[in-house]
Amino acid sequence: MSDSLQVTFWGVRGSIPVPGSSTVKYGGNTPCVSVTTDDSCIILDAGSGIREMAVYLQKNKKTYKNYNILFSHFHHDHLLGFQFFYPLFTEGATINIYAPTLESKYNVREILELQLKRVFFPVKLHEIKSKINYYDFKPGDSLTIDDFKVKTVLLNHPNYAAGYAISRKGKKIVYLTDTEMVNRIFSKQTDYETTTIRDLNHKLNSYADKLIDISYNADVLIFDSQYTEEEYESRQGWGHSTFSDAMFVASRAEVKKLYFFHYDPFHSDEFLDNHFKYLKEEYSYYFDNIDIRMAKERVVVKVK
Amino acid sequence: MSFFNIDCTRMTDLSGYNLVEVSGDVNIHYRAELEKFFKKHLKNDFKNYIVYFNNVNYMDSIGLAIIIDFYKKVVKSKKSFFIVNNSEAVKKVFELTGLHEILDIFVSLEDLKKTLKEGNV
Repeated sequence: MSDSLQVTFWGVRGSIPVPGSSTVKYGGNTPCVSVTTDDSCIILDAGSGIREMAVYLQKNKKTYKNYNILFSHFHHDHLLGFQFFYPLFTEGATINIYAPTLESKYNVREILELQLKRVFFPVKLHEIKSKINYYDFKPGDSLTIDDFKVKTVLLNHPNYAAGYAISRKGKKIVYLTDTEMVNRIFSKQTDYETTTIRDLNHKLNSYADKLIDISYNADVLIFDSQYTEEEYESRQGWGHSTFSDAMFVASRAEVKKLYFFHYDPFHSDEFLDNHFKYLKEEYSYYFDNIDIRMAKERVVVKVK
Repeated sequence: MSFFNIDCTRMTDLSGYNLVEVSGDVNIHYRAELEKFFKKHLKNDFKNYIVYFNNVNYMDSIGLAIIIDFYKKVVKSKKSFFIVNNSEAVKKVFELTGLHEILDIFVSLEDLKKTLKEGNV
């Protein structure tokens, strides 16, 4: 028996599942990451990857007292696997669902009820056998889940999202996905020399500071890396970051390990391999100081 | 159903001020309309502006960015720029960007008018 923290990637893709021969290496499932110990289980997002996790648990006859599912937000790619998480249908299992109150007029229970309307899925939420508890929180709140301390932060994304820093016994895992660096959207003009404008430009960097603050000294940072710098130019306002945004935050936050995450569905294994090689050459400073890796489905990270 | 509207009128009871009324969803989908609107106003002589957000349902950071570009140009021309907002959705994006600490924001037009008339800004 080990008491160490384990991070497992079950889905690392953004937007839509992309199974097929070009995504075998990194995987085609949408976001789901588990943070577990022998006794406790936190699941970050319920994209299609959550089914892989459920199958693994079944095959290995592994059960937990509680399954704590934390949603970053409710865009489809983060929600679509929910009803394929088999412990939902196990009598006696307890599922705790945590979700941020964002711009939606619905709370988490109502959103899941919508997703499980008969027109979309044959089983309704109230027909599920496990016991489900719902917890809505405001991004910025701190949560205690089993023996984990969880800090939350509001993320800049269409209709917003929440990021999480999960700590336990001095170890910290941070999950920041579906976030766009606010200062990159605003005009780059710096020719206005009034104090007001200088203050304003300075303030716009405070979003990055929030992400750096919550990530500070993390053992593992999992960060939105949907676009390359070139792609980002035509995708401003879509609510996602670039690989170099991820490295910038990781470096400033002095994290130990950075995992690129939430890959664009158009990014094949070959593309990602080539881009990673390019980043290693172009941004060697970051690579010299941080252990930077590509998130891959089924990769297990032991945090000791 | 999503909608968006923006309109600019001269204020009759506050000399030298224009009121920009925004309503609906101020997001990436209306980027072109927003940019066109502000470009049109940038061609004219700058006035003092009050931007009224109380009828906005949702604003994303792209919407805010365009408005802030306009703000920068107004401030550069040494005119005044005030915001009226009691919309929670807009408040959220101001808080996210930290701009609520920089901009002059009032919850109602009456509050702003009263403050201006008393000469407190």
